[in-house]
Amino acid sequence: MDLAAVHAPLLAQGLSHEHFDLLLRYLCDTMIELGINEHLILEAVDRVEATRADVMGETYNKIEREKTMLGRSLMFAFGIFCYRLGVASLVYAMPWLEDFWLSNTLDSERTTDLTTAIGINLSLLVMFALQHSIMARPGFKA
Amino acid sequence: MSSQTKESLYNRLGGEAFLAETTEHLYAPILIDDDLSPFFAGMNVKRIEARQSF
Repeated sequence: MDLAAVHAPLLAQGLSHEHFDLLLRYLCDTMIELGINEHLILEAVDRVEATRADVMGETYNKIEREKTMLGRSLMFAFGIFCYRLGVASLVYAMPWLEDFWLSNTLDSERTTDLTTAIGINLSLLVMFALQHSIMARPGFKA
Repeated sequence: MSSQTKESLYNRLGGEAFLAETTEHLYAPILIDDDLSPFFAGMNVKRIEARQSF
């Protein structure tokens, strides 16, 4: 029997932990009334208590919450990674533009033929354009 | 649920006879409880009892 599914409509009606407690209380009273051995009553109450999360629909919520937390952590890690990559590129661009310290800078001699160089530059521009237009969309941001 | 060597809780409580007696006693106060009775409104208690009897 799927306890979560059976109780879902009751949760919509406002079923709370207090109601669960109350029902458990009635069950306890009933068993005392019927003269059940108290150790057995305790065991039975434990057994019912163990179903609480399922009945209150919290097992599912817990899984969902953990999934969300994992998603957020991954997004955060991705954000940090991108930020560091961005800062590193910016720092690298400074001596590269100023023809300082690096062996290969903006002013270095071209080492490939012109066609290849233009091809490389065009593909870099296309990568930049694609990244700019895809990552700016609401679908990616959300 | 219970171990092989130990009788199940259900049987130790008295099996079917226990369950019938408990459910019968249990629903009377619940159905007149102002907080709990709304959740049982429109439900056939006999049907719930039957469902819990396995």
